[in-house]
Amino acid sequence: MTDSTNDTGLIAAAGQDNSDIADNLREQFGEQIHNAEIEDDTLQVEVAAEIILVVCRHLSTEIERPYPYLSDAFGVDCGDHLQVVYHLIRSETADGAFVRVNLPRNEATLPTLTALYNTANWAEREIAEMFGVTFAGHPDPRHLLLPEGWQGYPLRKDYQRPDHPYLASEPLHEDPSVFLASGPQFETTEE
Amino acid sequence: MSETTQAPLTTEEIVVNLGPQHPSTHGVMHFVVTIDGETIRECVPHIGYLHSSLEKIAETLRYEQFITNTDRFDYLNGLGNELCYVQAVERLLGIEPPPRTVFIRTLMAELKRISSHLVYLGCYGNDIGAMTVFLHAFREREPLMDMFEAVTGGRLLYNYLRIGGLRNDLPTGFTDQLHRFLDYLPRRLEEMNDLLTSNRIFIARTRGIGILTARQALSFGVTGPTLRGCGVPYDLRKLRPYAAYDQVEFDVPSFPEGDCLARHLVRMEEMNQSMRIIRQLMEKMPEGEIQADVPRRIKPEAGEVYERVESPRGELGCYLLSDGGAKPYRMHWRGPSFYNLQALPVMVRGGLLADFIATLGSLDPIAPDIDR
Repeated sequence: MTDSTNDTGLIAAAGQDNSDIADNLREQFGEQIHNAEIEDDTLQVEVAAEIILVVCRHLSTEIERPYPYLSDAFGVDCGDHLQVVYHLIRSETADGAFVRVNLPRNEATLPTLTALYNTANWAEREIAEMFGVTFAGHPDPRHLLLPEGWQGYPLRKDYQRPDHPYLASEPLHEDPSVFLASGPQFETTEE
Repeated sequence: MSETTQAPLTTEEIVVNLGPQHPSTHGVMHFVVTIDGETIRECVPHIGYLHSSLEKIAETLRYEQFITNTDRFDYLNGLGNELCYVQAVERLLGIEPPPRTVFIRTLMAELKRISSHLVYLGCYGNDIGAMTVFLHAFREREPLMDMFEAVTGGRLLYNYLRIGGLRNDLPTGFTDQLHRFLDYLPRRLEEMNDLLTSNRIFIARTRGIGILTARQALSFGVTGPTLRGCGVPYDLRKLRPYAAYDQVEFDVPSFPEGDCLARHLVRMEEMNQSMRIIRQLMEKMPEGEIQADVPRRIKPEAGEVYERVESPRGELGCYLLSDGGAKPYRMHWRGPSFYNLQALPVMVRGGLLADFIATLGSLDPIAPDIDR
């Protein structure tokens, strides 16, 4: 969707012409952001790790037509560096913005975005265990899909599969006061 | 005798493990629920039991080989997942599928939506103790399964869509089969509404239960019927039409209450809207080719796409990054159940343990879609 779509009054009324947002970002953050551009009505921007929180807050709350919600976040192993991609959206039009951060492989650290978006909680936990990115200040930095203690970061390109099956070393809950087994015959399954 | 001292009555919080094997958790999920009496104080979901490392597997398969894997994570929406995937690859390649293909794909995705919602309906009835509905819903789903079998050869896993096309056209007799189903289903849905939706016990168990506000839902990335049950008419079929959705008329039902009942009503109405879409698609179904010209070896130029479609559970996203090779360099899936489930603790906190399963079931989660 390029210029022709923007010509229709309907789309313009829905506020989909986002070209000013890229300009706004360049003005606001100057050298610290790269490649801010609009492709298919979608904002694409690459930012430095130090300002990710500031840029996301800016995009989500401070601009005229903000992208208030985080829809998805994922990692990419680009070979010489890692990348974390955040997909921000507007709920009225489903417009999206992709915010990217490049990180060095050895010292991949990012501030957590959990204070801005609840979505970030699980998304960051998944990126952390799969790519070895540390999210500083994350309220619950346990593994999410992998068992605790898993060696290596599976979605990195240089990941080596362990040659022995993984055995969980610790129970999920060390000292629960009571264990109640609800089921296999659970009352709600009976009529 | 009066020496016997009685300890003062104390209460303490106890921890209840729901799952991982539990008949009402819709797959392998584990919830550690802290309760104070009957009231839920905290709920911590543990997921990952069905993690199959789909995204890593994708990096070892050629683009066309991966289609069969897309059926397997959200297994109630196989054809919808295939749609999302082939659209992503087609956008990478710059291929436009023929109009008939687009229509058939949309048709199959909508049939899949009805089928998925029927499974929801049955399971949800089961979850809250109305077993009859389960049997009815699965009976109504049977003609759908027959149709999928007639078209694709599979009942649950299809491998039907192709990059730039379809494996085969609709078989002869399909139109009659479909119309018989479309004539029959509305009556049955009405019957099920009588049986369940307007049932006093059902309403008592779902109204005002598991409330999620629109703001909470959006901030947790909740989408699909769960979000529309909070009064937000967010539907990618409407907001960013893909496939043939810009050529059909339909409404996006939404209910503002944000409780289990609202989510149920959204799904019941969505089945009617899907039937409306299917009727229009059959009327306007173009003739012609079903396969676009596609290079023999699929090797997209270096680049990336993020494709989004509306699955029965919400926003399904597929990110593809190509380095110019025959296999994706990186593939990522946004499973709608993953983010929907993240909001569960907010919904059950402060509620009764007995309402936990009612709330969980109303999210219609699919475990492999969460864990991928």
